[in-house]
Amino acid sequence: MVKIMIVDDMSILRLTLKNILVKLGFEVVAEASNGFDAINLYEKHKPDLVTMDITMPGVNGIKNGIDALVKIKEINSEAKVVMVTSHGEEKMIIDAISKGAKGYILKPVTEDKVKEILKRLNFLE
Amino acid sequence: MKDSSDYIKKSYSINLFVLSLIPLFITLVLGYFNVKASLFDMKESDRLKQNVYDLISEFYELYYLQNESFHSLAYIYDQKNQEELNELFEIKFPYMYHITKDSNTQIQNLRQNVLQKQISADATLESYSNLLSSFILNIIFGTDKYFSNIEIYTQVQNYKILLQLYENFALSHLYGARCLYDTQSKQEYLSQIKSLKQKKQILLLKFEQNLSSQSYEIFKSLIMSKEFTAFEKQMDAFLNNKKMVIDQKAFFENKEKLNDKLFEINNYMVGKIDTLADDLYAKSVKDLYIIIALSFLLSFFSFVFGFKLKNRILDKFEKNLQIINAKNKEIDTLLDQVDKYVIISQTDLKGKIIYATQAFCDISGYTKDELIGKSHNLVRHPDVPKEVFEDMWKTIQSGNTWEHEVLNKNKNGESYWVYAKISQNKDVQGNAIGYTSIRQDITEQKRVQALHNQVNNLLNNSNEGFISFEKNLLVKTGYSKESLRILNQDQLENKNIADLLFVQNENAKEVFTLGINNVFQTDDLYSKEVILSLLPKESQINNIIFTINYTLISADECMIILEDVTDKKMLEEKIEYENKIQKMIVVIATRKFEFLELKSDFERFLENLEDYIDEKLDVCKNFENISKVLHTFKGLFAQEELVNITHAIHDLETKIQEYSQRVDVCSQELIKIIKDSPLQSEFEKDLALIKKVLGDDFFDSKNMLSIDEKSFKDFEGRILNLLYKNEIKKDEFKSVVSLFLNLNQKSLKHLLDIYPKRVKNIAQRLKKEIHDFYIQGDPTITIQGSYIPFVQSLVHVFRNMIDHGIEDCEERINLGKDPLGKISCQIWEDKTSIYIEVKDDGRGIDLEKIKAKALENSLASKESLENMSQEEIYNLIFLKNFSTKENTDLLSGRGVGLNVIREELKNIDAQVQVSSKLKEGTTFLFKLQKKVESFLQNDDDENLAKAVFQSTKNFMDDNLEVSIDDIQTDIQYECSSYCSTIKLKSDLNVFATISVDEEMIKTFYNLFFPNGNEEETSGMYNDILDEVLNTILGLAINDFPPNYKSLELGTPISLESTVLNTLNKNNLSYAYKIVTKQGEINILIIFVKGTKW
Repeated sequence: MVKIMIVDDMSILRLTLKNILVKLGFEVVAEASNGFDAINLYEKHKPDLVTMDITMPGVNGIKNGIDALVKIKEINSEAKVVMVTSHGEEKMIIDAISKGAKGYILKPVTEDKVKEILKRLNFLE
Repeated sequence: MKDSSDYIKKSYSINLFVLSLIPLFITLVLGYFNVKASLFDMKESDRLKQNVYDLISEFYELYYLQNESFHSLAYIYDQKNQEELNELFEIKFPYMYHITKDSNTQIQNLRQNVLQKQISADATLESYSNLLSSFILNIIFGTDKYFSNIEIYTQVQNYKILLQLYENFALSHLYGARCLYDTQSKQEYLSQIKSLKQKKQILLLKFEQNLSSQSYEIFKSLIMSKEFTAFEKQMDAFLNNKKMVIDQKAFFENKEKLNDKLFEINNYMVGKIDTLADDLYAKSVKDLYIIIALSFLLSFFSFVFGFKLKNRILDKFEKNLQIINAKNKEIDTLLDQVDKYVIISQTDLKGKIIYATQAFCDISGYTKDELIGKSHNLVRHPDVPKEVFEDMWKTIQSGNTWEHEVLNKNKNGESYWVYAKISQNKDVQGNAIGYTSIRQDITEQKRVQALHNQVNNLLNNSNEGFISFEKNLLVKTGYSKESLRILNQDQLENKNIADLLFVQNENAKEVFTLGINNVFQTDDLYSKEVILSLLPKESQINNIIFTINYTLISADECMIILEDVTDKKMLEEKIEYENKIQKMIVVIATRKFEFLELKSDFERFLENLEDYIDEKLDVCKNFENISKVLHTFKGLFAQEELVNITHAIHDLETKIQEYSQRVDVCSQELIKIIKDSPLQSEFEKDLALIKKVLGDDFFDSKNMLSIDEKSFKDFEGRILNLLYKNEIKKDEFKSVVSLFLNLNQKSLKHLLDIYPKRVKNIAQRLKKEIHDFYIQGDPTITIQGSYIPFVQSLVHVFRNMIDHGIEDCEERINLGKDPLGKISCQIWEDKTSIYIEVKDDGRGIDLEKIKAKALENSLASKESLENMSQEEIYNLIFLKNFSTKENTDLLSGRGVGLNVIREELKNIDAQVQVSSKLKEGTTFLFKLQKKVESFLQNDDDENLAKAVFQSTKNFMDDNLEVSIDDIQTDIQYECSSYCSTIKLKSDLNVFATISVDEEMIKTFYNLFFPNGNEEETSGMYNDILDEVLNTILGLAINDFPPNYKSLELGTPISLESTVLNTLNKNNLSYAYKIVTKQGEINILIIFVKGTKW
């Protein structure tokens, strides 16, 4: 079973995303509400995929999702991280992709959007 | 070719012959000079002879000179040696000094003699010896006889040294080499010797060259004889100034020998000198012969070698000739190819063709014969303007080269393109003799260019902007015309694409630049694709909106396609507008009645604007009133989906608010502002839109009622039923009339049905999420038309709930609530009232916050807040300006909101009850009185009963501090302990009875006699009850409309319970029971049958 970690500071989004992922048959092994927790949880659970909100409150110097992405990439350069973003954050998405993010989901998160990105990453057929 | 080669061969042979004669000639010349030289040498031998003589005489001279100098210099006293001796004497033999003094004197004398050459060297030596002997004997055996043996030994040793010194001294005096201290004479002597030596060497050399070897050897042996050698050695010794003792004896012996030798040489020389000369001559002649022979030999070899050389050269020549022939062939092939493939023609000065290549023939379709002799304008194409040829002739006639693309035509009249290069031909003298034209077939090139232009045309006419750029983001050459128009530029080349695309949007420019740079940098195709998808897809320059489509052509080149979508966008906007209109029309068509009412209200408002201004009130109040009205209209119009008027009102509101900020506000100005605003015209615009679809007469049906078919059929049936009856019963008639009146009633549920959708919209705009909800309740509950404004104002309640009540999702999840908010609306009724309950499950009303806000907005003082009940505080939210949102929108936030509801509630005399629990939600319960419109109503008796009951309840609420636990209606009347009855004096024969239990009568008693003694006054219980009933009925009758004025209260009467029970059984009656903790009250109203209306 594909293990997924959800990183988002908003619980409603975590809940929405979790519901969608569970419905699609994935296992959500960890949830983090900030980038710092995400890094620790990544090391602990080694998920196959991470969904990472781009804008989150800074904790312990991890000031947003991109910082967390970079740290996770340092732990495992093959890590698959998908950014969750809003309109108007294009610059940050480009930055994230150039730093190794595998794609992005534009809010509001819907099942179709999640399916599409999971297909692209070959987690779904 | 052959001729020239033969010629070359011949010329080579002649040259060779001449060449071979040259060595012969040279040898002859050399021979001649040799003989001449030999003859010259004859004279030279004579001179030589003389030289020998000279030499010999010089030798003599030298000999004498040496002899002389030797004698003169050999005896020169050496000063230094003398001093050394003197010193020795003084040191070693001080005591003998006087002795040696004599000897010294003698030595001095002797020396003088030597110097004056008065004695010979031998004699001198002898004298010295004697002198020394005596001197030494004197030393040893002299006057001093006191010396010891050792001393004597030492003396002897010293003597020996002395002797040695003397010997040296003497010898040096005699023959000392140090005699040549006279430098001048020494130099002379030296030069003499040198020249002599040189002369001897020259002579020897001359002899060696000119004499036969035999003669030379003889001569050499003479010259180099040992006598000469020895002499020379001595000479050298002198010259080198070496301290050398000369063997005097040997010297003199040698001197003699040399003398003899010299004589011998002299004699020999004299005798031999002629032979020597002959010898020399013979040698010369022999040399001459040898030279001549050699010359001939050389000539011969020259001939032989020359022939050989000639053949060799000719061979080489043949070979070269072959190479040249091969080269010629190559040139011929080349010329053939030129002929085949290069279009060349030559003309004379007049333009007649004199030469043409096959290629020219091929392209023009003519044969060479056909071309030559013809004028070159044979291939001229009629389409080429004359000016071109004029220019050509002008150019080439002036000697310049003319280059141009020219269209020609061939024999078949087909055209072809050439690039022609024409220049003048000149003869050797430089005179022009004709012209050469070299042309290149560019028909294909032209075709490709035309194709290229065509493609460009296609691109330029495709109405799309094609632009490509590289990593540096600079636009490359080649872009379609449309891109210039879209980007509003004259040219794009080398301009930064980001600057071009996003003139008005810095953020988009940054996103684009960042993104496109990343696209070029990354190698990951997926990343490229993702980033490309993120780049701005639309931009606007001036009034042109265009889409941008990105395509990566290669790893470092990107193409973008721009499409002008301005029209499309406008169309979309128009469609959106149309959709709005559609929506509006649908809503209005389905809610015609409501709309017509709204319309007439609004029109009335516009007509009677002045009525809304009360000059007695202050300006602010007037502003407030007008604003409220406008705001409600705006909400209502929005509800009906009206497009233009909603916006117009919003704009007007903004304007009024701006105006109200000014100091010099006045009500008249306000009216002016409203009148000047396009409310009327915008509203008419909407109406026109509606009419266009629904027909011009749609609004003419203004005063018509819409009745649903079922209701109408029902009504119709009942009327007909009445008409066919012979006798119309009053009750039946009443019910029909009542039904008719009901037609004017509106279903409350239907009126409210518009809210769920609308509330959902509001939620969406306020970024809140709520569940769908429906109005719950009986659709048959109706309200009068006059209540409609209130129902319409309910929108503010919903809006408030969403804006302030419902938390956002995030907060709700954190609180453990359902992420979506829940709003519900329920209606129900009882006999007297209609209830509308609106409920949310939001955060509830925080009393403290309300207080704070009320203080902040000066709506209440601190003291008054402290004394307020919870209910009262809740009611503060209905005050004007309680909501203080800074940003206003079409939906809310002008500080009007809930205040409107309060006003509406006042108008219809309805109540609201707010209850709230923090974090759980708020409920608004509205209670509307059912109005008794007319006594003709079917259920007027029931209403009267209801009124009595209500009045009772109100009495209790107002006067007793009791809470009602239970209310029972439609029950069997039970008479309690105390009972009182009053007959309502009117056409109606109505009895109203009230009975209470022991506990309740005590409560009443306490009300009237708060300090009374119960036991003394227990007899007054019945009186008290009568008084209560009287009060209650009085209140009930007062609440009835004027039609009911015929009701009049009778005096309380006491009826037996049995009588009451009988009346109750046989007549229409209504019974109520109110249960409280302090007892219960029973109410019974009996309408006696047969009562005359």
